[in-house]
This record gives sequence, structure tokens and C-alpha cells, in this order.
Amino acid sequence: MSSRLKILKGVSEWIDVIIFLVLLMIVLPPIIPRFLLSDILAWSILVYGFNLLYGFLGYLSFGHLAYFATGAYMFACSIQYLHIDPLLAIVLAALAGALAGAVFGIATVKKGGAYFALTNLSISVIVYYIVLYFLKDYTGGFEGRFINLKSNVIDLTSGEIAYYVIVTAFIMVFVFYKILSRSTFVLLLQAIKENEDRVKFLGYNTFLLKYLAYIISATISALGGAMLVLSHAYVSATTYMPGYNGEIVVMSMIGGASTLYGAFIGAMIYLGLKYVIAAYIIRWELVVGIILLTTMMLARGLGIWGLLEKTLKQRLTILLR
Amino acid sequence: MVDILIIIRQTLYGVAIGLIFALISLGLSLTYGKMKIINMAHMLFYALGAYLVFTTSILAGNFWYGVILSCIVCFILGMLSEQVLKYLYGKTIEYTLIVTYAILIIGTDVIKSVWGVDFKAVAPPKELTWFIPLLGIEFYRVFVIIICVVLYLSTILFMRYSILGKVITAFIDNDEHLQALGINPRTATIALFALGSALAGIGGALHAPLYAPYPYMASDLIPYSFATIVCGGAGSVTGTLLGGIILGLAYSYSGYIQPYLSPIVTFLILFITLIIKPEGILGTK
Amino acid sequence: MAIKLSMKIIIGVVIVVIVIVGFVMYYLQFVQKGPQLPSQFKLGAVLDYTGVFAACAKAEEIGIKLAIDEINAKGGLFGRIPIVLVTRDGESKPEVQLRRFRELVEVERVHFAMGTCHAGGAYSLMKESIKVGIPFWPSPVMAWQAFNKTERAPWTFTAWPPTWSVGYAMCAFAVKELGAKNVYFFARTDAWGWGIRDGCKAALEKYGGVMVGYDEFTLGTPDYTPYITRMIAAKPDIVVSTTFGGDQVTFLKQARELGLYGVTKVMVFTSHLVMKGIPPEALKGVYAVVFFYHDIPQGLVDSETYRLMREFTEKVISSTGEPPDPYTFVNYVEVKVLARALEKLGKIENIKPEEFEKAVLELGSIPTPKGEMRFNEAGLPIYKYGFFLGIGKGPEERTYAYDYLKIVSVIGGEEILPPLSLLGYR
Repeated sequence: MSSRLKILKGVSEWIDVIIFLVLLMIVLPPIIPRFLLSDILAWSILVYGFNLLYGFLGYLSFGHLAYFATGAYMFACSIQYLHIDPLLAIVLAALAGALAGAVFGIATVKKGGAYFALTNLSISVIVYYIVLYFLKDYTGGFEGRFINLKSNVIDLTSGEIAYYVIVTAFIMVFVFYKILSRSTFVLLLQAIKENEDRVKFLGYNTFLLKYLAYIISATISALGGAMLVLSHAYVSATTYMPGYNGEIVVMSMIGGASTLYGAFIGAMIYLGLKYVIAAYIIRWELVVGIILLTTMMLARGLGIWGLLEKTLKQRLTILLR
Repeated sequence: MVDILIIIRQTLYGVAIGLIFALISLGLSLTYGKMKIINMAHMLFYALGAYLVFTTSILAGNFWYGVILSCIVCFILGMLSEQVLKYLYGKTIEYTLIVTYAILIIGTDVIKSVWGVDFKAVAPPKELTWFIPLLGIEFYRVFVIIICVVLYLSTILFMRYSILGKVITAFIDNDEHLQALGINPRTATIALFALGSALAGIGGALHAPLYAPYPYMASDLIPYSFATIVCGGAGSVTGTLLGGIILGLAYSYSGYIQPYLSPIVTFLILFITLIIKPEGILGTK
Repeated sequence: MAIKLSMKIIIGVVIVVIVIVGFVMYYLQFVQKGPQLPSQFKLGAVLDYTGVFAACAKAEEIGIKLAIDEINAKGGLFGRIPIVLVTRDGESKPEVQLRRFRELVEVERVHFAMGTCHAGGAYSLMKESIKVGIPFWPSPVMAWQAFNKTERAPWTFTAWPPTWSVGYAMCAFAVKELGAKNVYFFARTDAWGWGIRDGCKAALEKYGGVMVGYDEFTLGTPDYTPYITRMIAAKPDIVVSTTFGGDQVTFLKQARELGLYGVTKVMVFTSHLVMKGIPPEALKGVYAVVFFYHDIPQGLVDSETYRLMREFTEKVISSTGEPPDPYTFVNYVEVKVLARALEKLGKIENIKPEEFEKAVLELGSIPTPKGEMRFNEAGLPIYKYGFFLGIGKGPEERTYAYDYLKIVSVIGGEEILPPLSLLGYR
């Protein structure tokens, strides 16, 4: 009896991955244009990186675009100047994110709250102006440049194949995130969120824990950056303007920062909204703002998925009584 | 061999822009320091002030009417905004951040609908547009410095010596004691919002002739406002002033070398300040 | 705000439903677009309605719509295929512009595309157009290198002379008309500024001018005083500045306040859009080079051209209340021309770059509100009357709201275009 339950548990554990695969490969592509889907996936990878810090640790970063940019430009420039195969460039991009996170994390993870938000914002601003102007010759600056995605392994210049690569990356990030969320590591992060001193008293090096989380977050975000460039075959500094860090927070909160699917849902809703509304209304910024406002006031920090989860749980517990 | 005149000029610029940073950030500093509300929509008052002075200069041809109008309008709107924002007391920082961010987006779009998206030009009052010969700087900038200092000093005096000001100061210090005294803390918060918004509006009006108002000016200035507050110390009036001047000078000096260096230097200073003394130069833990 | 949880759920679900419905609606439209008989010609335009370049989108759209209305009044292309305009917001960001362009091609299935307010973005779209198989014509002034034989998409033509021509015209005017031999050149640090500089150098060489000073500024600089101080110190005959848009407003204001006008002549390239935002005192005495102006003195151009320009100006004023901006003029011309070229080609789908290019060139001389124009083999326009030179009017001289300039001279012809040898055509 118990073994049956265990196996069942095993399969149902990963049902969400299967659902994602089905959704992304079969259900959604006919409905949602592929370029929008790949954008949604790239941004949700970034939001997963952001959620690691915000959802679990409670540290709100107002500058994750810095890592998005790091990954993007590492990907673009290593293809352009080092003549590396794009697939390898993806790995390099993630590593670059890890390195950047390691460098900046030392200073930023000291405290949360406004300190964390603003130190990250500062980094984002500095990174933006460097890629916009000071490294203009390599990055293409404001105008940006096309990236030649000719690969020796698989044909990345084809939109189809690039999309599959992005889906693969997304699933990998999702699985990683899911496993991570079950781990003691995240449990400790959540404990730190509640009361850091207590965790310290238990003997843990909270700084190291936060630092590690930061590096992982930066790596994931950088991967997202590379995926975005992959989907567009184009990179331009305008994507990384520091003002847009707010959009990451918005996507995270719409979906639900501490939930497993929140990042994807948030990115899908936000980008989908922008896309659909911008097509019909020129004043789309106004409409998005209003929807954001109402969503926030209603969902109250839980995000749409979080709200759904909560009500489902409530209903379920009532049912099971 | 750096020209001494250039140094003087850039210093004056830095002080001027720094004072404007301080003026428009003061309201934000006080509301954040005390009520932990990061009001991103605060910068809308700055933008509104600039656009109002533009409209009055077109309609009435007089710059001063515009400044006074901005002050009054922003004061009233500030009181109204308190009514709306009071729902955010005690909510998490992230929640208030997004709600006010949404208000900012909406407000920016309203500005776009009313005034359009193109560049506006505001001319400073004729009496002040002569340039100081040796330094090569418009007198208007010096005038801005003078006015900002006057406004700032008046605010400090107001806080210290007037009844309402004392109420506000007491509120910032300890609102429970204030309630124990039988004074409704709402008066303090309303006055706080109104004052901060009016100052931001005046700041916007004064800044408008120095460059062209455009719809996104509110959101573009938010990082600088935060930097000013945090560097100086949130909740501290003199702190914001100091923060503003330091950042203004950094912005001005680095801008002379290369305009794109200004944001980098400014935020580097913010970053370093945060690392060394997170509560700001004059802030208290 | 205590709302019951059930209420919240309902509203939350409603929002999600709206989003899904939005997608489904899009899907339905998408499906219906599939295999389509050309009962209408879809012209797509990526215009920057929001962001830094927001001001120019409106002007471009006016020109495009005006041309479309005129063509549709006669039944459309071939007299029976109406033109439908589909626009998307490029948000002044090249990356978004590219995305919107792909959207127009893949989802909206446009037959032709135009757009952006910004040369870099337009260049990327031109490149992309070859990949996706839909012709693209740029709406803004292009960097001249984009029309190099190796760079240009064969089907791309433009009614704007490129940056090189702007520079050539400015410096030719400076030396020839104003007798200002010593030129101080103020370049923007990008293709715009450098392209204008290249043209200016060519004009100086031809007319015997000298570039005595050179400085660069970055887009969006709020403070030009260090540069202006250097200009005053250099004491040139004229300062030729490539500032445009908001930068021009700031630059001229500060230049006036610092007294640059007393020391030297100042020349800028401008348009109605920009001049709207310049205070009259700052524009007074400034030499402005414009591509189209709504108030030309009668003797400057031939009577037919004069009549055409006035007619076009009246048309735009009656429909928008404001005189035409050069962006409006150019986009109007481009739509009119591409329509004629398509009619000459005989089809609106499956267009090959070279065959469309041939059709356009075969049109020969094309009537425009500025007189006759024809394209050279590099896709650039040859106008008899290209650029106009005007002097800024102070507040006392202005007789009506848009009375910015007194036009005194004009330059045009093949002379102002970058030589074909430079573009790789000879």
C-alpha cells in the first residue's frame, strides 16, 4: 500500500512539468505568437531569479536587470567577438551572471529592505550606462546589433529551434527552482526572512546563505538574459534601462512571489496584457497602470496564483473535513 | 590645468541641482522615514509643477504666477493624495511600492493626455536671464540656489517654531505620544503630505526653465530622489539637504567630464554610502 | 478596504478571463488572416508613440494617413484594393521596434511596412525585412551608410535625403550663402552626428570652408555650457550644431543665455516639431535648415512648386490644425510612391526585392508637394528643391503662431546627395 502511494507521489510530483511541456509545445503555440511566448519564457526565467530572493528571502531587488544585461551581453559578445558556438555562449552567459553576482553580492546581501533594493538599483544604473555608452563599441549601445546565431551543433537561426532551446532552458530552471524550493537551503532562507538573528543563533552563517542565494539568483537571471537575445537575435541597451526594474517586481507580484508558478504566470499576464492592449489602444500605459492598481489592491501581495492557491486550499480543507 | 572659473561654475550648478533634488525629495524623505511608505507617485508633483509653470507662462506670460500656482495646486493635491495613500499605512513596503508605481504610470499618462508628448520650453523670467560675465553662468541658476535655500530654511523654521510644524515634528518623533496629547495624528500626516507635495511642485517649477519638461520626467528622477534621501538619511530634513548637495555636486563635476558619467558617479556614491553607513549620513538607525 | 474574499476571487478570475479572451480574440483574428485574397492592402507602421521619440510618431502618422486617404478616395490600389494602416508602438526602443515589426509581419500579415522615428531602429528593420520577405521603407532620416550597396535592402527607398545630405546642405549654406568660412562643428556621438559631419566636410571642401573646431556631445545631454564656452573661445564664423529634438531646445536656450549669438552665427537642422518647443527669443537670429517649410516666399521656387507646397500645407492644416512637419511630408510622399510602384509592379504579394526596386526606378520622375523628385540607384531622392535655409524670427517679428522662420535660400539636386562612388555604386 505504502509503495503504491510513494510511486503515485513520484509521478504527481512532476505532473506540473509535464503540464508545462504540453502547454508550451502543443497548446500555446497556435494561440500565442511564438515571439511573444519566447519573450514570456525569457522574462519568467528572470523573474524566477528575482523570486528566489524576494519570495523566499524577502529581499526585494530593484536592479535585477543588471544580471539580465550581463547574461545578454556575455552571450552576444562572446558569439560576436570570441566566435564561440551559441550553445557554449549560453553557458558562458550564466557563468558571467554567477561571477557578477559573486562580486556584487558581497556588498548587497548584508541587509534587506530599502538597503538591498537601492544597492541593487545602483548596480543596475551603473551597468546600464556602461553598456549604453562606455562599452558602446562592443555592445552596440542604444541602437544595438543583430547577433549571428549560426551554430555548428544545431541551427539556432531558425525561430522554431531557438524556441525549443528556450523552452528547454525554462523547464530546466523550473525544475531546478522546484527542487530548490523543497530543500533545506530554502527553508533556511525563509527562516532568515522571519528572523535572521534566530537563524544565526542556531549556528548558521546567514551571510553565506544569503550570498549563495544571491549568486544563484544572478545566474538564473543571466540565463534569462541570454534567452531573450536568443529569441530576438538582437540586443539593444534600451531593454535594460534601470526604470524597467519595476516591471520585474510587477510581474513577480502579479503572479505571486513565493509561489512556484508565479513567475511564469506573472510574466505571461503582464507581457500578454501589454501586447494585447498596445495593439488596440495607444494609451496602453494608462490601462496597464489601472489594471496593475486594481490587481494589487485585490490580490494583496499574494498575486493571482497565490490568491488562487489560498482559496483552493481553503475550499479543499473544507471539502476534506 | 583646470580653470578656476570652470570649477566655480560647476560647483554652482551642482549646488543648484542638488538643492532641487533636496527640495523635491524632502516630502518623500519624511513620508518614507516616518510612515515607511515609498511613494513613487510623489515625483508626479515635481512634473506637475513644471508643466503648470509652462502653461501659465503660455497663458499669462508670467513665470511667478506659475510658481505660485504650482505651490497651491500641489499643496491641495498633496492633501488629497494623503486621503488615498492612507490605505497604505502599515502595508508591506513592496505593496506600497507597486501601488504607488501604478499611480505613477497612470499619472504620467494623464500628463501625456493633457499636455502632449512633445518637448515643452519654459523660459525663465526675463529679469533673471542675464548672464554673469566672468563665470559664464545664467543668473537664474544662482537665483534658484537662493530661493531653494530660503525655502529650505523656512521649512526648518516652520517645523521648529510653528504649532503645526511642531506637531509634525512630534509626529515624526513619536506618534503615540502625540496621540496621548490628544492631537489627531491625521493632522500631522495631512500637513506632511501637503507640505512635501507643495515643495516638490515648487521644485519642479523652478527646475523647468533649466531644461525641457517632458512626460517621463517624473519616473526618470525617482532614482535620484531615492539616492538623495538615502544618502542624506531618510526622515531627516537636514540630511536630505546634505544628500542633495553632495549628489548634485557629484553629478555636476562628473557631468563636465562626460555627461554619461553623471549617473554612474551619483549611484556609485549611493552604493558606497549604503555600504559604509546604511542609514545615511545624517540618518539614525 | 475590506472586501470579501469571494468578491476578490471573482474579480481576479474576471481579470484572468479578460486576458484569455484577449488572446483568443487575437487567435481568431490570426486564423482568419491565414490564406487571404488580397481584398485589402495592409500597410504596417512601427511608430514610437511612447518613449523618447514620441513626438515624431504623430507627425509621421499624419503623413501616412493623409496619403492613404487620398489613395483610398480613388478606390485604393489599382482602383479597387483599399489600403489599411496597422500601427504598432515601437516605444522608442530598437528592440521593441524589431519585435513589433515581426508581429506586423507574422500576426497581422502586412504586405508592406514603414516606420520608426530613429535611424538605428529603421536600419534594423530594413535588414530584417529581407529575412521576413516584406518590403520596408524608413520613416526617419537615415544614416547615409545604410544606403551603401552592401547594406541597403534593394527594395528600400527613402524620401528623406540622408544625414550626409543634411550636413552638406548646412555647410554649403554656411559658406556659400552666409560667407562663413570658419566652421565649428558640433556632432552628436552617433551615426546621426557623424553622418552630418561627413556631408559637411564634403561641402566645405567644395566651397572652400574650413572646420576650425569640432566637438561631440551625447544624446540627451542636459547641459551644453562647457561646449558653448569652448565655442565662444574659438570665435568661429559659424557654429553648425547637429542637436535635434529636445537637445536642440536645450542647446539653443543655453546658447542664448551664454551669449553665443553675439560672438558667432549658429546653425541647426530643425523641423516644425522641434521649433514648437523653442522659445522665440532662443530661435531669433538662428540659421535653421529645414527640409520642408510651410511659409516659403514666392520668388524662391518656381510657381508650380510654390502652388504644390501651399496646397499640401493647406491640406494638413485643415485636417490637423498645424502646418506639416517635414516628417509628415516625407511619409506622405513615401506612401504615395510605394503605391504607384506597386501598381506598376502589378502585385502586392510575394514581392522580390530586385523586382520592386526596378518598378520604383522605372517610375522616373515623381510628383511631390515639393515638385518633381526621382530616385537615384542608391534609393536616395533627388529633389530640385531639397533643403531650405531660414533665419529664426524673434517674438516681435512673428505674425502667427507657427511663424518661426524667414526663408532666404534653397539648395537641391544631386549635388547634395552622397556621391554614388562613396556608396559603392561606381
